[in-house]
Amino acid sequence: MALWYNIVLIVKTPHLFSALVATLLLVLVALGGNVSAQSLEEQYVHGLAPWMFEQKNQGSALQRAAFETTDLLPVYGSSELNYDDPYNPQRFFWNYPSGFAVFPVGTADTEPLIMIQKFAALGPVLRGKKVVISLSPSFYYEGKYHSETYDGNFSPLHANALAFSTDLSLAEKQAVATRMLDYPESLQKDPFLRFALERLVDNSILSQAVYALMLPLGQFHVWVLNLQDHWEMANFIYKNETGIAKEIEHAPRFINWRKVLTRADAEYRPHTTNNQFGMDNDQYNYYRNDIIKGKNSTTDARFLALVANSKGWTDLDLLLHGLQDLGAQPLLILIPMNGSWFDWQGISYSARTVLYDKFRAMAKAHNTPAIILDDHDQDKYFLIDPGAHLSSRGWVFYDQVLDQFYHNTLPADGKNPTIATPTP
Amino acid sequence: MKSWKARLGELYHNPTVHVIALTLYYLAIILGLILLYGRGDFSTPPFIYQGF
Repeated sequence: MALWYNIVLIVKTPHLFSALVATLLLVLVALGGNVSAQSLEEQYVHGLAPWMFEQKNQGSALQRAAFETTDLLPVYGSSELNYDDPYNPQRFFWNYPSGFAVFPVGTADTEPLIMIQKFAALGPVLRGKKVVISLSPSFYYEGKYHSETYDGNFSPLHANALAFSTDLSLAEKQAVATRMLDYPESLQKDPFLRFALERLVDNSILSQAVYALMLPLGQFHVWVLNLQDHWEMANFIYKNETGIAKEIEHAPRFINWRKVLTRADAEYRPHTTNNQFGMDNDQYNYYRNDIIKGKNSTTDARFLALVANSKGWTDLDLLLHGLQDLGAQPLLILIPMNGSWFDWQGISYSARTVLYDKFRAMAKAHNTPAIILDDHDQDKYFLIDPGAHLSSRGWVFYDQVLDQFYHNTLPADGKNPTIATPTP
Repeated sequence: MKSWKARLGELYHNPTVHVIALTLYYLAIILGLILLYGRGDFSTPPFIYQGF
């Protein structure tokens, strides 16, 4: 009976049958291509770990491969990870001195709202895995992120993956969707995504039913976007193959942090001779006019109002909730403000402490380990510029934190690790 | 002696050949669409980094 029925199907609807066969063949080719691309990414992930490039940030394929290793520590941050310095973590740990290397992800102004989308796209691969989240204090004294920086970091793959995720709670998705809808320009090219986000945030039964109906199609869309990501990643690898290290010789050694710090200080200090802030000479020259105009340009009251009203706290809350849903093991690192620059502007240390304490409290409320580098707020040579970009000295302290986090040796009392040398 | 057109017509009316030809036809359409529209766009608009 079944055979007869199939024969009738073939005879009566040959176009349908042929179209289905053609589609099935291509799906099988796509699945095969997927497996092949994953194998390529596993092969090259160590060589590409220290590289910073668009597909690494905007896709998920290479990030996923990194989380599936045991000797790469993913660090998600923003512009600080893109400043070249001999002591930045991707250089310092490149040959696995204590058993791991760093896999940095992020570009300028990669904010927590963007980060949670990246993590949503990774989904179950995060469960039980360590991840470092590097954050700039400027995220917490700006009223609203500039839409151009959000759009400049926006990834359709990550955004769709979050909207149609089944790894995040509904409440979390709704809260993130509310924030994503604050940036309508990023959703202009994806009306399907915008419609899904609008249904998500609307609690009516009809909207929730429509969202539930959209979910399978949305997940199919994410599957296609992931295929495109694999394709782009494979292309990147083929184009750059000769420049990617195939085998990295591990050079295990005992890291004498005191000696490393002394060396870093000796290398950095000669480049800070044209200003009183301990900033790099070139960086000071670049920002000189803004720095001079900034003298006594604001007050504690204004700063504290910005801190109180910053949407950065909402986004940090969403990020921490999302990481809990995904079962990750994060460590937050908050880079300090440049104390001498803030003093110059008219913002006192006690006002800055309000930001540090609020960050500390939020991390504690979410039971998330955090290293707030506020003990270096007045460390003159810690940052190279008015922003949150670390000097060689700053990076040594940061690298020590990464090393201790990887090896589960961060101080149990929650205090910051120290290196026993006098502060210059 | 049959002409090649007649032979082709006979082949096409063979059910198996007909299905294979249709499958290849649909494969070509889908592949063409993938080549034209399938490439992802992961680029981002440029922005001026404010710095601080």
